[in-house]
Amino acid sequence: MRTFLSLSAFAMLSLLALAADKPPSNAFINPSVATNGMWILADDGFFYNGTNSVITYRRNVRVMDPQMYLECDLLHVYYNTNISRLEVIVAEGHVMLVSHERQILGDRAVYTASNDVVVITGQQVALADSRVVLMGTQFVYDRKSGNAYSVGSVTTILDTGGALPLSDVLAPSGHDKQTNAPSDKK
Amino acid sequence: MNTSAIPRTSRCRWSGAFLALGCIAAFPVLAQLGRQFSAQDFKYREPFETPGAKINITNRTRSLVVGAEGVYLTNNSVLLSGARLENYAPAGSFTNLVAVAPRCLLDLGRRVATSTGRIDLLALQRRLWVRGDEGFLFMLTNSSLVVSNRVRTYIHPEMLKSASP
Repeated sequence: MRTFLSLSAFAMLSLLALAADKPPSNAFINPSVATNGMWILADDGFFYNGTNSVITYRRNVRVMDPQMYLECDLLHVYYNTNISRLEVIVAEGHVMLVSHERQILGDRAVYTASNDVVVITGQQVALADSRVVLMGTQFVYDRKSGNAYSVGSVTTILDTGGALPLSDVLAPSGHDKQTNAPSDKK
Repeated sequence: MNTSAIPRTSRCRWSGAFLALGCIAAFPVLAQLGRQFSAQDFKYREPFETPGAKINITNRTRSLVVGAEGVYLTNNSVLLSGARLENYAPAGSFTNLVAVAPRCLLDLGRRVATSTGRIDLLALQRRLWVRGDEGFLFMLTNSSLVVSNRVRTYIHPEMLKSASP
């Protein structure tokens, strides 16, 4: 009787141990996706280095978030492991940044998360929107305010659209609306 | 043939020699059979090593490879199905990275896990999600992971928030 009891206890313990240690085949990774997150796509892979806290993407890298679209050849993402926050993103080679109907082309872009600013540098950096093209060596784009400005010498090319006089091109967009308002009423 | 004519010591010597030859012939077959083991809940742990001239293994885990089933192949290779790869931070006990692959090959000699198939990974407190469909290489000794070809990454907005308030 005693042997039977000890055997049944052993069998029960074995069953409990088997039930507790489930096989990992049912492990499922489910990301929590929000609409204002950032997507990064790359054609030539991803390199994660846990020791240096850097992730590298190669060839035809595309970064998309609600505020901007960026293309480049090589992208390094530096992060802080302790707080799981992104610190700096460095884009290199054929960099193109599109944001708020504005396009910036350059050789290298550095995004700093602490101030939400992108600095685009290169031998010839071009900033273009619907009316003007600016050529320089360094542009700073503030993602919070949506403003961009150049650092150092800059060449400005105004697009008059062929028919418009230069004064209309230089006038702010709000002034255009005011002048056009009476003609609309007619 | 009259066996009683052969001395007893000589018979023992002959039977011993036959037995030895039999063992030598059967050894590769037994070795092959022994290497086709499959195991449920396969686990392999790679510890951190202390820096310095002498290699000292610590009791802290750097990487952990778990498989629902592991089939021992030749050359220290284990084929894992339902694999889960984990990487831990050097300081503290939190997990840096968790990756799941339907199948992968674990090389115990070089301590790398490879596959030509899919991998899904979550890292940095579930704020970074990556999917690759065309292979990967996970180096257990230096905590690095390479995902081949087309890769999709999603970064959660929590990770993009600046560290300063």
